[in-house]
Amino acid sequence: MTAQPIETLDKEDLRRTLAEVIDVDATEIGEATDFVDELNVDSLLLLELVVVLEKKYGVKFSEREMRTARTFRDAHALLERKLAVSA
Amino acid sequence: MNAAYEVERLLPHRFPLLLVDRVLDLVPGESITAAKAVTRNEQCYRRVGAHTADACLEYPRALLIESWGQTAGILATWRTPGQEPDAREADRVMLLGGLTGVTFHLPVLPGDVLHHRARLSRALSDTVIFEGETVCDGEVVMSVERMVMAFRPADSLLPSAG
Repeated sequence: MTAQPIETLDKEDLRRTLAEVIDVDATEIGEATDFVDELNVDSLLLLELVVVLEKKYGVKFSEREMRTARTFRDAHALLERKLAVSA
Repeated sequence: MNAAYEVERLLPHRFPLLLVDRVLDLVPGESITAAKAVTRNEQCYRRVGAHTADACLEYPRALLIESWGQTAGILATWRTPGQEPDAREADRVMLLGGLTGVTFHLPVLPGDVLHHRARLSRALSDTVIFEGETVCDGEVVMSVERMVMAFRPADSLLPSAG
């Protein structure tokens, strides 16, 4: 069986996953919401987010990537790039 | 490997809160299995009277998590025997940052020999994430989806002088 390339990442599913780990309502995560400044995500939670996303989507983030993806938009764009590469 | 000695070499914990007895298997940077025997003589049972029903002798879940966490801590602080910790390592304190998805499947009772299994999911310089489970007689008694462990310099945790 050939792997189907993931054309678009389910945005709402990603939003729900992030909300669950951060422990906020999914509606609180807007496109430009800054995880660190607005949702009080600290370095520990940030790493936890990375682990959850890596496991769920089967990708691997570098330390630099995980520090720069601080908004939903950035995280989504980064994941799409990663999935496009691994597809 | 003197597996019981390894525990005290790598963990700062001591009686009555050293809750790992022996390292059974360790793959540096990957995984660890360690044993912990629960006995009726533990500190946590000192006020429990004689003829107490089993149900009242369940090993406290907080201690079960602590014991599993210490096992993960041995993996996190592992260094080759004979190798001294560098100044930065010696100065840092191991902290529990958070736990997600911990499930207690069966009660742990005095006489049980637990095998804690912890796997390293991801590590940065000062933060490590583990997952794993505790097994007793081939049955999983506790599973841990994620544990965040943080290392911080000891002086940043002490109250400021004055």
